Amino acid sequence: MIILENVHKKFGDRVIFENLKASFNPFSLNIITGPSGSGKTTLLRMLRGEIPADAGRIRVKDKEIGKLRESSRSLLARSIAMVYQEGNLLDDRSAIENIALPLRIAGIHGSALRNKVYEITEKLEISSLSFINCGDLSGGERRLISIARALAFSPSVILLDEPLANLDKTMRKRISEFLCNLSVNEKILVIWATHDVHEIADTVHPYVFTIKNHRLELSQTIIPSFIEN
Amino acid sequence: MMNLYYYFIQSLKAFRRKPLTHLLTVGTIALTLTLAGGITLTANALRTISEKWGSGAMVAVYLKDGLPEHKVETIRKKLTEIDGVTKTRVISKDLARKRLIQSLEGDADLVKSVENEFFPVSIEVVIHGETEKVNQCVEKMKKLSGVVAGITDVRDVHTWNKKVGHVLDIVYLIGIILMIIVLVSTTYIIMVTTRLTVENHLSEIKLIKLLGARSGFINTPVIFEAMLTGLAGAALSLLFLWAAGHFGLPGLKEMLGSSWEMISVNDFLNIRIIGLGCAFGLLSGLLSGKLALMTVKT
Repeated sequence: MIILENVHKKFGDRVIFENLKASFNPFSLNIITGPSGSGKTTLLRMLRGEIPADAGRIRVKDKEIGKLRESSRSLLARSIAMVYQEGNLLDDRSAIENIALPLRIAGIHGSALRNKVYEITEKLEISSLSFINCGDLSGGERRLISIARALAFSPSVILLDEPLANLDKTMRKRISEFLCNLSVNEKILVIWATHDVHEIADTVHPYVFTIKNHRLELSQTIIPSFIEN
Repeated sequence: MMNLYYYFIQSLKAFRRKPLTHLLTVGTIALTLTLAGGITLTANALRTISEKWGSGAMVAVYLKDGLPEHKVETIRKKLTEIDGVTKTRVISKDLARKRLIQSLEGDADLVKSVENEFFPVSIEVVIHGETEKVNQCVEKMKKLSGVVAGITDVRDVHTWNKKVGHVLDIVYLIGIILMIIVLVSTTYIIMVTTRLTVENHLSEIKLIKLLGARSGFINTPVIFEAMLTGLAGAALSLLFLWAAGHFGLPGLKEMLGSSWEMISVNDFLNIRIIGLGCAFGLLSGLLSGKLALMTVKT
C-alpha cells in the first residue's frame, strides 16, 4: 500500500535518509524506531506529502505523492491521518469541534457529522470531554482528542508520532491498547513512530523497523510489554 | 448552504473569541467610514444649497425712457423666448417708485418727493435652473441688448448668488477629493486589519491545511470574517451618522436658518447610503481578505 523507493532527504548538509527503501502492507501495524533526531517524524511527514523527498519515489495506493497536484494531495491527506506529537489541536475550540474538523473539511454536515463524532467519542470513551476547550485538557486527554480527530474521517492509514510521550502509566496503557488494535479492529494501516519499542502492547505482533545509517531496517525484535517493565 | 451557515457561525465565534481585537477593527473601520460618509453628505448638502440658490435667479432688464408700449411688449416676448426664463414682468416707473419706497421703510420720506419720471422702466426676468443655466441666460440677454433697440442695461441680480455658487462648487470639489482620499485610506485600514485577522488565524490555517483542507475551505472563513467585519464597520458608521444627524444637526439648523429647508435630513438614513456603506464594507472585506491570504505566508 505504501512503498518507498530510493528516497533521499537532506536538511542543509545533514543527511536524514539515503536510498531508503520500505513497504508497508494494508491493515498492518508497523513500528518505526530509532533515536531522537534519526528522522522518524520526517519520515511520517514525507508519507503524508507534508515534506517533499529530495529524490526517490513515495507511492501511496499506486499514486506517487511527489507528482500529485495540491488538490489531490489534500484528498490524500484526508485518507492518511496523523496524530502529531505536539497534538496540533485548536486550543480555543471544544474537543468536539476539533474532532469534527476533518469531517467538515470533507463536506460532512448535520446529523451525519453528529453521528460520526458521537460514535468516535463513545469508542474512545471521551464523551465527558466533548464540550471542554482543548486548551483546558491534560496531556493525555489532548492525545485522545488528537487520536479521535485522526479517526474521524475513517482513514485508510494512520501515522502516529510518539503518541504515548509524556503520558502517565495508566494513560499509556489505555491508549497503547487502543492503538495496537486499530489495524485489526478498524482495518487501518498503522505506522507508529517511537523511540521506545517497549511502549507497544504485547498482545500484537507488529513489523518493527529501525532507522540505522539513514535507512530503514526490518528488525525481528520481540517486543516485551511495557506493562511488565 | 450548510457551509455558509458554518462560516457565518465561525465568524461570529471568532468575534467572541477575540472581542477586543475585533471591536478595535470594527471601530477603526466605522470611524474612517463615518469620516468618508460625513464628507460625502456635507458635499451633497453644499451642492443642494448651491443648486437651490442658483435656481430662481432674477435679472433686471432696463429699458430706454419713453419706449412705446408695443416695443416694451416685443422685448418682453423676446426675453420670454430665452430657454430657462420662466417669468417676465414689466416694472413701470410707478411700480419701481413704489418698490423703492417700500424697501427704504423708515427712510421712505427721502424719495417720496421724487417724481415717477426719474425711475426707469424695466423688465423683471425670473430664470430657473442651475448656476450654469442661469449664467447662459444672462449672457443671451446681454447679447440681445446689442441686437434689439430699447435695452439700456442688463443687471444680473444673480451675481452674488453666482459667486456663492462658485465657492460652493469649489468646496464640493474639495469634498469629493477628500472623500476619495478617505475612502482609499479606509480601504487600506481594512486591508491592514484584515491582514492582522489572517495572521491571528495563521496557526489555525496551517493546521486545517494539514488535515487536508482545500484552499476554498481555508480561505472562505477568513474572507467571510473580513466581510462581516467590514459590514459591521459600515453599519456602525451609519449609526454614527444617524446620531450626528439626530443630535448634532439642530445646531446646524440654527446656523443655516432658512437654508435649512434645502438640506434633506432624510439623506442621513437614505437607503442608497445604507446600501453603499454595506456594499463598501462587504467588498473591501472580500478584497482585503483575498489579498491578505495571498500575502501572508501560510
